[in-house]
Amino acid sequence: MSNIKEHSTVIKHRSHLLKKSRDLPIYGLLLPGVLLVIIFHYIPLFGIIIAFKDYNPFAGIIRSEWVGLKNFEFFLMDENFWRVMRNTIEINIMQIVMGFPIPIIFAILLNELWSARLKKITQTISYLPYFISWVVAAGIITSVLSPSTGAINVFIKRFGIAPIHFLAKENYFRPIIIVTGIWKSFGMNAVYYIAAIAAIDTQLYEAAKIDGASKIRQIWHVTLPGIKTMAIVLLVLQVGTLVSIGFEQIFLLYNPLVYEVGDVISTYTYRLGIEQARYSLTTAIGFTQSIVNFILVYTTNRIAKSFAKWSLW
Amino acid sequence: MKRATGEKLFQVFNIFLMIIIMASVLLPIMHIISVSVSDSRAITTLGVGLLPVGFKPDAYISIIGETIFMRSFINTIIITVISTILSLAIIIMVAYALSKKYFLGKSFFVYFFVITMYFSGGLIPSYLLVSKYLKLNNTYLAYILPILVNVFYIIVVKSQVEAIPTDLIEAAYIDGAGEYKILFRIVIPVIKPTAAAIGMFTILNCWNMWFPVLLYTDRREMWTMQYYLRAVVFEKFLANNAENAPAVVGADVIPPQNYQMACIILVSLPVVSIYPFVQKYFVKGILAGSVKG
Amino acid sequence: MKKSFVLLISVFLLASFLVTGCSYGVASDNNYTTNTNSTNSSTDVPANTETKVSPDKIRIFYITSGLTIPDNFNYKNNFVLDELAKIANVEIEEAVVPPYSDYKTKFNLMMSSGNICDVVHIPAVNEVNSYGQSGAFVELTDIINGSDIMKKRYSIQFVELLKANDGKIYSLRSLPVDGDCNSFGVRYDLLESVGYTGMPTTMDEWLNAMRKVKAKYPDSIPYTSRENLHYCEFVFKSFGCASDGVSWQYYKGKVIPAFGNPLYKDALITYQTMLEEGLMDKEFVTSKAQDFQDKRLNKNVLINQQNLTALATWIDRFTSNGITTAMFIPGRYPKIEDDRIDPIAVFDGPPSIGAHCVAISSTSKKKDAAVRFLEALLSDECNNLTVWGREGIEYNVINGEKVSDYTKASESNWRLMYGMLFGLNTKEELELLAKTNIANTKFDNAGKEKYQKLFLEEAGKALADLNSVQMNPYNLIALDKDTVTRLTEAANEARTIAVKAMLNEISLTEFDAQAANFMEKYQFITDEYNAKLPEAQRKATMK
Repeated sequence: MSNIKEHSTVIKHRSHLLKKSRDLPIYGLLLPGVLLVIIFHYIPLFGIIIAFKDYNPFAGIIRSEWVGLKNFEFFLMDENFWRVMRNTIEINIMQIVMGFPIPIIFAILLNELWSARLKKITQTISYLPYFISWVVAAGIITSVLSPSTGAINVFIKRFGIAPIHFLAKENYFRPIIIVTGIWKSFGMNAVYYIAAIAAIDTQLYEAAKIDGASKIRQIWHVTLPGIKTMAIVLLVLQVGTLVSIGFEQIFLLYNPLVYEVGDVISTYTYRLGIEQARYSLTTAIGFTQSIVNFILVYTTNRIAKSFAKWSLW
Repeated sequence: MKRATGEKLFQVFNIFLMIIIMASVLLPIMHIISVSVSDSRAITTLGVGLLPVGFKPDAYISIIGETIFMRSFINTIIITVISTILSLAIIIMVAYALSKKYFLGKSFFVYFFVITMYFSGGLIPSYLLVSKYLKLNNTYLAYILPILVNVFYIIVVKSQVEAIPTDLIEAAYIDGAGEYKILFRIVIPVIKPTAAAIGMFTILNCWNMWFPVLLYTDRREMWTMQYYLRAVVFEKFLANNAENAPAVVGADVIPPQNYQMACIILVSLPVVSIYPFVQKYFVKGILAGSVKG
Repeated sequence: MKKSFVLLISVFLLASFLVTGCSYGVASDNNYTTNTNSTNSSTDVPANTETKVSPDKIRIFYITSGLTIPDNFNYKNNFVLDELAKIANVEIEEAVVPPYSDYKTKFNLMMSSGNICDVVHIPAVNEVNSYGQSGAFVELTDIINGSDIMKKRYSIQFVELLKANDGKIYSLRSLPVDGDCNSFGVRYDLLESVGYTGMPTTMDEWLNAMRKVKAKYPDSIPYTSRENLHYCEFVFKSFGCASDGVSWQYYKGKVIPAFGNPLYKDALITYQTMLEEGLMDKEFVTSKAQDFQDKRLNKNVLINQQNLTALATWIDRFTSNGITTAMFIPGRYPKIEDDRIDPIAVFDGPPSIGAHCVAISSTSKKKDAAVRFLEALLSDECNNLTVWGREGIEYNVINGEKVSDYTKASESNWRLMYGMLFGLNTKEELELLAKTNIANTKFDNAGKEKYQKLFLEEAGKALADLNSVQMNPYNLIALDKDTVTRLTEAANEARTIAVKAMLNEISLTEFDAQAANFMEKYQFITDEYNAKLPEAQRKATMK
């Protein structure tokens, strides 16, 4: 109550001052950022026009021929494009469904450890894969899954089962991508949740215990709500990149036998755009991706706003 | 403290799980380190498991001895330091400005920044801008400037500044403080953890940077560590995996495994070792930055 | 307080901007600058040698072609480039040499920025022609006609082959090499250890040889391949099919898709047998370059697909990796008696003009200087420097014959980088390489002699096979840009089908159905190829 009163006096106070003199330093603070953004983001934005032209690098952007929507037509009509789009979305959804809960569960379990030392050690070790590049990770994965010398198959052979060539089977490929993707990032992602859990008021736990809540109930009623906001933030962000997937991981692990299920937009764009310098096409695809991403984020943001009263902006 | 058997069991299970997780991470890393110090012949003939076969740190010695490696190392440090400091400065300034409740054009500016998160001109226009029109080829600026403004972090800091109790700030106004004073005296101390977190991510980003080198640099003296790693060590490895590498005498040579692995360790080591020390701030920062009210 | 802070930050910002605005471009000192004692007998010096005229400054873009370059190497000044610059009376103002793995990207970036170097070397024919047609490169027909040395090196047929689709010439290309062909290296020592005294000749004999090797060394993989069916030519080529199993090919007067070859299924069945019996590496689909190399070295691989000159390099690789008993000899494609086989498809014929292009930028202000530089690249001095080195240092003349100082010569292997227009795999180079590497092996003198004799003999036979048919017109057909994109996709699709059939993941009847589907889907590519075939055939048989 008192807040509102103070607030209104503040407003009255404010309106007496010239907005300008109060705002000037604000503009000053904004200036370097705005300049940099104009130069490095907005000016290149005009380059999107390449998507509508048949870009001839030698003639320059202005003199290149205008082809309207031809580039968009090209990839939208290409059945390969829809195949890779389908793969991209399916893999990404599976990644979210499986990859999203894991850092959360890990963070919660970590929090339940009695030994603070073990907690710290495990956590530190868990985010190490994040620092390894995919080139290395792919090498490790390939050698572990190798049908002849890989650890897993050596283990299976002991039980008399024939070795499985994991990376060459369509059924195994997507799970491998997802599992290894999780392995690489769960530690870093869990950091967010660990932080959030640490911030939960311990009194809430005490209160729950007094009320007779078991461990599970405590987690359900205290921990989870406490990290709700964090989870939503990260979810919105992840959904925002639904139509893009990192290129390296798949490029380094795929092979002809699994193109059907593993080929995604980024690898497709790489072959079409970068290897053959088809800039117009790549720009057109990139532009479409941006639009789709934007729509997705906007929608999820709206949903988050209504359900959790929080939004990205 | 009395603990129920159920809880003890759960704890045992938990510990067991954690051990498996740690193993899944540590074992491959041990493998990398072992390969990097093993005898190169042994690697191909016997295969190296978790322990090195013959201790030979030759790879490390030869890499560190190369002038271009040291040059790249220094470049990377320069870029990282300058980039992080400047980036943090700008992010904080913009975030603080945008967190103000009312000022002329606030929503305009907010959208102005946010839109850039989703739309970008793409590779070629950015390349043309930096190299052709601004003529920043072969300079450090080409590495630093384009990524200086990170809108996502601006938003993170902004929401944290907004979470500062208004009474505090109003009181300062009444005391006659100007914007800059408020910024330095009140806001910055509060967002220090977040700033540390952002700083950490920026450092990691700069440390791993290689693509701008490919785009804007011809001179080997301007390389960064990741690019050196990629160009010198993985050069033939990458070229061999490219679909249309012309078949040339000697083009099939792949650098020995221990060399590759040593490079990986050398490049990843600095960042990995800093992290545990800033972890404290990092965690506090992430938390405060995203959870609002 | 506030003021001093603001001041401090502004000063810091300003300072960092100033510092970072500087670029580092100090050329490092090295041992490769022109030796004042270098002896070089000039023989065929092209016209412009007036040293009174100050040299023109030019910028060049070239690639390392994957050669091993020493640390601290100076790409702008070294004894080869300096000599070339002297001959052409130019000064190399800047040499842009990207790391090999990024050369294509760097090239595309340079072209897109419009700031193109005066002379550009890149092994990318289609790109150069298409940029040329957009006006990026100078048209060279008149220049070739006006240059003695260019006319000397490029016969009328070769000049014809230099032309792009629109009849214009946008770049010089590497001359056809006479010392290279698609072949495979045979571990002769393994053959001898299972009782052979000569090379097997027919496909059945080869299969038996593989079986014997496998029986004696159960751990071995007699035949390997790699992801994307790299190095799979052995069976496909012998049956006269497309060498990579998926491309289009020339066959008895027409161009057909790979699956359309009447013997394709026979090839598949052979592969199936090899895979089932463990004669071929089952893991080839996921084998990356590193694994592939490791397997070749350590798994007693009998048949190693590679081109001849690279085989000569491999001799050394066995030595340096401790496999001292290896005797690596080129093999000839197995004979298969069948009228349906077209020998042109098996042996491919003499090579056409190469893929390394050297072009002159049309925005260059020093076009004459650029032309002189191109002429320098084609000079005898250049050839001598790149293949042999400097007389008295890398080689000596004994009894009128050039004798290489192997150790010294191998220190400057990078010389080959500048022999772009001569093609890197000539017969001279092949012999030199083979002799150098064999001399380094751990065999005794008798062994080395035998090795050398066998290697050069069998290489000669392989080359004779190559030249026994006419030039394959397929290699001379250039498709439209849009079709080329579809071609890559088609190849990927075909590969999936082929690999699945090889591994028995789909039955042969299923394969038939999928193959028929594929050929119908990409009929338009077949049609385009055949439309362009007559022109290509004309060029191939020109004298």
